[in-house]
Amino acid sequence: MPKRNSPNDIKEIDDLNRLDDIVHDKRNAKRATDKKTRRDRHYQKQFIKNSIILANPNLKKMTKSEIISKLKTIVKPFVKNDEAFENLNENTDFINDLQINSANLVDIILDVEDAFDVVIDNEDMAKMLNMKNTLEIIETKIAQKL
Amino acid sequence: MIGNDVVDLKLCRIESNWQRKGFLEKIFTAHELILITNSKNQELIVWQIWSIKEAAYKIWNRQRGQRLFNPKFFEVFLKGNNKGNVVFDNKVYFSKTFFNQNFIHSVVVDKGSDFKTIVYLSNRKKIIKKNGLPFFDDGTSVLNPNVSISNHGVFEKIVMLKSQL
Repeated sequence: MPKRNSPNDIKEIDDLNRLDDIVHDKRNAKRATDKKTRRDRHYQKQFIKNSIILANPNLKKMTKSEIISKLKTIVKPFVKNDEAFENLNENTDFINDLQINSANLVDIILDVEDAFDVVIDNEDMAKMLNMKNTLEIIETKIAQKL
Repeated sequence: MIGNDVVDLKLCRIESNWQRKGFLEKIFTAHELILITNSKNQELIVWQIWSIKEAAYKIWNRQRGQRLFNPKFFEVFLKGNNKGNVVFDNKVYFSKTFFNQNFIHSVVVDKGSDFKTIVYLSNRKKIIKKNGLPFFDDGTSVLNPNVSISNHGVFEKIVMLKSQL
């Protein structure tokens, strides 16, 4: 069974985006029987998370420019129009501008899921045709995790 | 209405790894995944269903004037080796696929009888584009919207339904 985190080991945690994996309350293994117990557990987890954030002031939410640069490295191998990639901006279209093959859009989506540790559902995938929508979806997914 | 899509198999093997974890689940419905799993030549059927979906998307795109990336929205039901149905927006469309060693080419139309009036064009000389969509301009005042262009790798396929005038 994974070790239960306590506020004492918060210094060791270095990646805020992986909080849900790292912060583990072993009492979750037992069934929460009533509302109060569930609420207590929720607060306990929240408390540990907040302590981590307080103890590590340089651990901030991933900034937009960090998301963009990570996304750029994901997209790059599939780009067929290098000039459009150099002029990459919010309005850049994956298919019309970067001339990415539509089957490779699936690879981009799978890579985004891995790199940002998020799950992209069908509805979001349908919109991921350009930088703007993709960034918005990633930001929303990350925010939902924290 | 007509849509078509060609897949260059050699290029596919370089560009895509359909065996990648999660890949098939992102683009195929449960029914299609069963077809693929039960197939002897999985690679071929993966790209066959994919090209039918892409061809169907071209019809949807022209009907709606919108774009989307949702391959599961176009559900394919194969009937024999090269015929099939594709369903989207609660309507059934018809597909035919042509194979050879180097490419897979699928054509989707909205009436089965349309297959008799398909014309293959060898070049884009009489094609004009409006808002990114191709039209056939034969010099008369009426543009024929039943044209679809597809290219991948070394292949380009242009199909058209003969004007019903």
